[in-house]
Amino acid sequence: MPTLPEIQKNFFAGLFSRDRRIVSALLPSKTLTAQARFDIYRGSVSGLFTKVLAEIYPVCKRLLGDRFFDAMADRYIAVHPSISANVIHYGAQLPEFLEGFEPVSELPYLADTARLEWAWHRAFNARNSMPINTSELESFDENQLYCTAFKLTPGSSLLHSVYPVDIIWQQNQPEVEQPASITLETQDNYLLVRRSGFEVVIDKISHKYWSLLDSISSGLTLGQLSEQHDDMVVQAFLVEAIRHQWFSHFSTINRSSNHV
Amino acid sequence: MTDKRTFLKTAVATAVALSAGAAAPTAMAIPEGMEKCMGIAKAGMNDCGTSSHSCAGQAKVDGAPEEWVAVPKGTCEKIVGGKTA
Repeated sequence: MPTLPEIQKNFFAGLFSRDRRIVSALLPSKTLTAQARFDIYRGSVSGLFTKVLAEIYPVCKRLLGDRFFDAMADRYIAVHPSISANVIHYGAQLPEFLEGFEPVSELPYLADTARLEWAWHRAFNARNSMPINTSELESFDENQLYCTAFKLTPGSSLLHSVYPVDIIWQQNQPEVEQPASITLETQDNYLLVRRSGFEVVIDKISHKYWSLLDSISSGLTLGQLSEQHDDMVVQAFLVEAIRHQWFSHFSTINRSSNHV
Repeated sequence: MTDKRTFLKTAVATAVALSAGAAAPTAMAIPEGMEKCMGIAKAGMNDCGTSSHSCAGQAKVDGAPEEWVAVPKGTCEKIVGGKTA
C-alpha cells in the first residue's frame, strides 16, 4: 500500500511526465477505466496551462500557428510544471525554453518576441502607481538632487534585442488581419515596456536613454548619472522621463560612502 | 562636483517646466475610485481555475500527446530572412 506522499508524488509525475504508476492506485468507475479517468484529468490540466500560455504569448502563438504552439506548450508544461498557486506567475521561463527548443531554432527572433510578451504581461499585472510629484522634486536643493534616486513605474522592463521584436509584435496583434512582410535585419533595438493607466506602452528608445534607465533601475543617483554623462544628455533625458512619466517614485539617498 | 549640483538644479527645473502640460494623454488615466483587478481583461486566465467554470472545453485528448508538427505554420512565414540556415 503506497503512502499518501507517494501517491501525491506519483500523481504529480503522472500529470507532467509519461510516468503512469499512479493509475494502479486509482479506482475505475462504472463506465471509465482508471487510466481513462486519469487521462481526462491530465488533459484538463494540460489544457488549462496551454490556454494560460496562449493568453500570455498570443504573438508567439500566431507566429507558430495553433497546432505547433499547442504541441510546444505540451513540452514546456512537462519541463516547467507550475510552482505557484497563482496562474499569473506561470510561463516566465518560456523565452529561455524557446532558446533551447530545437524545432524553433530557425526562428532566432522568437525567444526575444516571447521576452517582450512576458514584459507586457508583467506590466499589465503590475500594481497601480502615480507619476512623481514634480513640485516636490523641484523644491529639493542641489545637494538633495545630487543624492536623488528614482524608481521606474512598477512592472517596467528594459529589453534589448537585435531583432525588430516591437514591429513583429505590432504586426501580429489580433486587429492586424494581414501582417506586413518584415525583412529581418539585425540591429540593436532598445525597448521600455511599462504601464500607463490601463495601457501597456512599448517605447522604442535610444541606447543612451536605455542605459540611463538601466542605471537608474539599479539605484544610481542623479549625481552619479551626471558625473558619467554629458550635461546635454542628462538634461534631454530628464525632460523625456518626466514628460512620459517613466518614474513613479524618488527618494534622496544618504550614503556616507557615496562619494563619486 | 559643485557645478554638477548647480547643473542638476537647473536641469530638473527645466525638465519640469518643459513637461508641464505636455504630459502624455494616456498618462495614468485611472478614474478615481477604480482599482485595476489582476488580469481583468484577460478573463481566460482566471476563469479556468474556478469550480463554477468548466474546463472541459479546454481539455485535450490525451491519446496522441506525441503527435508533433515539426514545421511552424503561422505568420512567421511573413518574416523574410527570419530563418537561419
